[in-house]
Amino acid sequence: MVDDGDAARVSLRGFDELEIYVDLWRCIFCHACEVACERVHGSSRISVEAVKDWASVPVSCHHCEAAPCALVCPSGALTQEEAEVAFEAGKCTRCGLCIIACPFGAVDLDPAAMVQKCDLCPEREVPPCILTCPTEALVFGDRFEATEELRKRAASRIAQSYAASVGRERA
Amino acid sequence: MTGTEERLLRVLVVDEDECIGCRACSNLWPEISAAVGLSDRGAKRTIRFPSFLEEFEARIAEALAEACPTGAITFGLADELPGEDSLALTFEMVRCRICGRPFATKKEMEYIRDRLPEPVQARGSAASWMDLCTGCRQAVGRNAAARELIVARSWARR
Ligand code: SF4
Ligand code: SF4
Ligand code: SF4
Repeated sequence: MVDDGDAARVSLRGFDELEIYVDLWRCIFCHACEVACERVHGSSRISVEAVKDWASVPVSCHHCEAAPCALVCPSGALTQEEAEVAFEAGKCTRCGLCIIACPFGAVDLDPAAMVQKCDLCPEREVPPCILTCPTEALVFGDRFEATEELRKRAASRIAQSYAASVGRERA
Repeated sequence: MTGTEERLLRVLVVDEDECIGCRACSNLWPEISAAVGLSDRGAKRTIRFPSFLEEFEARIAEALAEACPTGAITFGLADELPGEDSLALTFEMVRCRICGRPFATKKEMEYIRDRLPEPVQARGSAASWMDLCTGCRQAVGRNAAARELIVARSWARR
């Protein structure tokens, strides 16, 4: 069930500054991350939608620096902690100000429920959305690791398309 | 002080200038939602506050005063019913620059703007993110990401 209430935030990961990065080349619009998130939190904090037939784009909290949501939250439910923006449901008054303040539209408030925002699942080693994504379109790591992985993937795409174009010329 | 106090009513006072028309008081708990009514109609939001709460609702009174982000709610004790049994405040709402949906009260927007540093507010000549509703903010971000991907893909195929 939904259990992200007042329990003290115990992070298994310390202050690793881990974030979720998205590799749009790989997202196949399967919604597996949404389903995984919903299974754990009761409703999903990541949402995948298609832009025409161009791409499918997952959107969730970016864990901003100087996060607008945390700057406006009057109750202290949203707090900036190093590279994460933490959410403590027990303090939230559901005033809705964070929803209006988030530049990415990443906070949701179901009238009948609680504010929904990705908190990077601090009580888990790896968030379930990451574990579930079948194409590894979601990359979890600090910004050096994650961008290194994304750069490697880009480099191998370039190498492949180069090899393919050489192949076409020979044919 | 004892005995008579039990018959006193808790009179709710809302400071019209301070109240920004957010959803904290009406959203706090189901029993509060029943007392404080919020309704959005067109580009107007109306919040109806009861003028008094019965003595036994002290817990609710405290929670309301505490939840209000601007300290607009206070309580006094009175031995007579106030003339009016409710107070309605109406707020003008801001419409999304893309879809036209009213998404926040003007006073909520002021409250937020006051708390964000200048660079984050980022008001350019085009509509800034602050002028958009949540859905359109998401859509704008998605479109930009998809466009970048299309450009990158067409390069890779050359
Ligand atoms: S909820 Fe929005 S404003 Fe807050 S950290 Fe996440 S992306 Fe930034
Ligand atoms: S809805 Fe909750 S988390 Fe959001 S600003 Fe209000 S109190 Fe903070
Ligand atoms: S919580 Fe305070 S500011 Fe928000 S609507 Fe109620 S009285 Fe107004």
